[in-house]
Amino acid sequence: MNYLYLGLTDYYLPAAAASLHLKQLNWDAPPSPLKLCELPYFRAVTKADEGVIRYVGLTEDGEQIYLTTVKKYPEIFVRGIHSLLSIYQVPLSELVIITCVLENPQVAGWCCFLQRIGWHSAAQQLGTRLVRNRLADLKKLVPHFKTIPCP
Amino acid sequence: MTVKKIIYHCYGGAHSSVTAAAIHLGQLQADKIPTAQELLSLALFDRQTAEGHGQLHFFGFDEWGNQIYSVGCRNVGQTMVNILHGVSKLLGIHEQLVFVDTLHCVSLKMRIGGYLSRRWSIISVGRPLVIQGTREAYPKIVELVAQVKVKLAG
Repeated sequence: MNYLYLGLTDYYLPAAAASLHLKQLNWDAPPSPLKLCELPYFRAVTKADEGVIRYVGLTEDGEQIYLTTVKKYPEIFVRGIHSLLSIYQVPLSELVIITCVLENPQVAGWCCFLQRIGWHSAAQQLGTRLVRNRLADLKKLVPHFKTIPCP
Repeated sequence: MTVKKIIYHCYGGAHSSVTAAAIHLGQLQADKIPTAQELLSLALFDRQTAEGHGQLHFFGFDEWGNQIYSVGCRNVGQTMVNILHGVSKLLGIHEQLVFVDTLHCVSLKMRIGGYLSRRWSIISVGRPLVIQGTREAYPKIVELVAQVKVKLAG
């Protein structure tokens, strides 16, 4: 089974969710900004990133984790991928798409803007804040956390 | 020759891509501008809704056995191309996907008519306009399909 984390003009949330899935971080406590910045693809996106599928890693169970980003309309990409899988007669469970959309997607645009004008560290700082604010929501998105049985 | 999937894509997947797919399959004659009735007899012509955007629609097999599809990608066609290529690669599918953007064949009449008909559901105004626009843009679409076929044959 493969997982694709889909961001909206953003790599910060999908990269963090993918790392959560890969258990690359201890998520019991909020991760430090430094630790977040070390995650693969934890950065502002550029135009060249749109629709490019990046391999992030492999889980202990052999699940491959990918991420990608789109500028807008994430739902049409989900539909497109699902219909391609149907055409190839591949079960939809073979590639699980998890959309990670910011509450305010325009903030991701700010990260890109900061990156473009050369304020790389400011973009990273904003991205870090975004992730730390959405930590609880991210945990709900990741299948590993979803399947934890209630005590 | 390796069998391919030819995917014609445009904004809404309702006009230019559907027309191109029909020309490719010989459902519309390349040397004759189709009538309104002929265009409307195509399965998806001016019928696609926003809920169908992104969905690949199968039209049939061409003379080489290639599968012909159409899809509406709004204005993010290149991103869709990247994603679908990426997905087929990560699944280890080596069958070739050929994406053909028909958006540059679309005339202003098609844009306005399509917008009125599909976006605002003002079909009585939009449909005649989009049909007229499609008839005017028809030679351009025919030329595009001819180029695709030349590439496929070569």
